Amino acid sequence: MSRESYWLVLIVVGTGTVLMRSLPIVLHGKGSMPKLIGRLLRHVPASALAALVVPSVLYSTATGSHVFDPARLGAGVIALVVALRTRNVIATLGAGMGGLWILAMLLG
Amino acid sequence: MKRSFRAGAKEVSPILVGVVPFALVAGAAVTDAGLGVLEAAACSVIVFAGAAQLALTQLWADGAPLLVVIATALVVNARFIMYSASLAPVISPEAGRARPFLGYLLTDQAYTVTVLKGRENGNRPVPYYLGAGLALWFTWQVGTIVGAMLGAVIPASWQLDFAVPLVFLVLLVPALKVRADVEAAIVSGLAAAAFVPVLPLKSGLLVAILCGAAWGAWRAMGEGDDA
Repeated sequence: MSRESYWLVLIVVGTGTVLMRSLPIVLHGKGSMPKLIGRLLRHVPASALAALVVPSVLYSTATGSHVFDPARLGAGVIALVVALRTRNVIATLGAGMGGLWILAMLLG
Repeated sequence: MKRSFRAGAKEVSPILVGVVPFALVAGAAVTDAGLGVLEAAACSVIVFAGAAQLALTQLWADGAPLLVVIATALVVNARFIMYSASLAPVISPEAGRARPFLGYLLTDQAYTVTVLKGRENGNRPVPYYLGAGLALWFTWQVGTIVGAMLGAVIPASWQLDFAVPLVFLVLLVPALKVRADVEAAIVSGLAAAAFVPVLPLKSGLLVAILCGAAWGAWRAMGEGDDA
């Protein structure tokens, strides 16, 4: 796709994001958020992050389609254990990437 | 004023150590997608939200329709409405005319430190928030530019794209605060595993997030949890 389309995405997403970040601060004291919206938003962080993690841990897309990759799943499980125990980015990155390289070699 | 600004910058700095690898990965993803360092920097300045930057860059590179790319990134960023609403009582009353300009710097990290510590030890929340937000902003910009330059030289056999879910995994752990969060994450993760490879127009991610958020809201309602 063209570079211009990437810039278009940036501008639209950037504008939308700055509005979502700013409006509640700006409108503070002028009414409250509808209850249902608050309830739906509350679980967006957990949902969004899980949806971003799971497919990338299950599938390799190196060939252009989604192919189940046991090395990724194994490395993902190792990384999950480290993330739960340490909550540390560097430790999790190290365990996950190291795990992937070793498992990919072993499973050949 | 100055003292609070400095306190905010100082107290966010332990978190910045964890932000650096995330920024490197977000920058590398842009050059991986066949774009340049300029686009990586623009993405960080204009969007300034790691998860959305990675999601939109990968979807764009996969050739998803622009509407799907935009909608997915906006849904990922919808959490900022909640952060902004919860930060508003802390910073809005004394923000005066600066109110419209504070939102741009809002991140998961600046939100967390300001809500927890922005009013402690005689700190004033607005300069405290600005100190934390700007420290994070500079770290993020420098990190993504360095990542974009490194990303162009790291060989594909290293499978660096796997660093992306690893970073999200670390962010996921503290997002699991109540039982409904855990359930929302499981529903959305399973839905993503099933839908992402098959749904047309690369809409699987968007649909999965909406499934998880709706499930969480429905479960919380059943338990009468209105907190």
